[in-house]
Amino acid sequence: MSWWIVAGVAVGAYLLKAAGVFGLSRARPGPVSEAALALVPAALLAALVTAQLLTDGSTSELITRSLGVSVGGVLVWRRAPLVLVILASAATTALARFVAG
Amino acid sequence: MTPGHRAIWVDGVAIGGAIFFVGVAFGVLARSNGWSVAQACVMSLTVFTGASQFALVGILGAGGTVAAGVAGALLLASRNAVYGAVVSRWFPEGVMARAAVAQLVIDESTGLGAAQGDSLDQPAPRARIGFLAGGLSVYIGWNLGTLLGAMVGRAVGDVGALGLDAAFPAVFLALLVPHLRARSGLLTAGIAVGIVTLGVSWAPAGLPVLAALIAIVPGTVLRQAEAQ
Repeated sequence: MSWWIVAGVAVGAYLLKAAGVFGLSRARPGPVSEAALALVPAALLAALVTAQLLTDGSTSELITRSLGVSVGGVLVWRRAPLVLVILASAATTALARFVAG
Repeated sequence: MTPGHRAIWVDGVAIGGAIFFVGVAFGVLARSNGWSVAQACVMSLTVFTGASQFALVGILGAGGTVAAGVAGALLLASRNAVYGAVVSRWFPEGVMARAAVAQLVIDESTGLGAAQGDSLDQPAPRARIGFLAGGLSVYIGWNLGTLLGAMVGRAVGDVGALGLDAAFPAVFLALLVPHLRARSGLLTAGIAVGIVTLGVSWAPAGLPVLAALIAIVPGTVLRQAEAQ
């Protein structure tokens, strides 16, 4: 694999980050763009949860993954610490896969 | 350090610890697809956007062209431009500080900053700490993980057997929940879930996540109505 690919993606990825950080810094957004910006995390985090949940794999992988994420979701809802959420969801999925063979 | 700030750092380190294992997975994946240890590590140090790196290595590994791999990676990275606009409001300082902060702009750092519930007006001290705690922890965890994964290469077994693919959506879920308290956030998130669910099986990798940003439009309308 070529170093040029690494360099190209590295430069592109940094420029995208910097464009955001420097781009809107001087502009003072109005109330509508303020409201829209505040909703960006809700849209993107929900999209990422879904995309990662439904990512490639067999049906049994999907089911065991959903089981782990559901356990994590219940713990989040009960306001458990993040460490516990991470460990419990991974452990649930690992256990379910071990049992399912 | 106040107890509140310590709690934010604990969350950040927890995320970084989880990301360490994703980094291991990435390192293993990169090695098994023909990248060298040095290339895997330099990629994690410089690109530092997990989803993009997975997309690049995955698309090329599946026989995709260089153009498709790079386009997929940058398409996924383009959401960092949106995050950067949010983050820039937490760091009003000079050019050098912002240039450094920009490298840490990713899902986890922006999410942990936004989850602190500071208003969008400056100053936002808790949001800054959330961003730095998430960004620095993930940077360390991601790069150490990549190094380990790339070095052990194919000796590592199946990452799926450890259930780690369930831990990552759970992290994003934990970051998402505070945004669901307002009805506008709930509506936005619900539509985003629908868009990704409909698109994930056929659209190119990364596109459904970006398309889900459309959900902000009805969310903003509801938020404006709520404000009145």
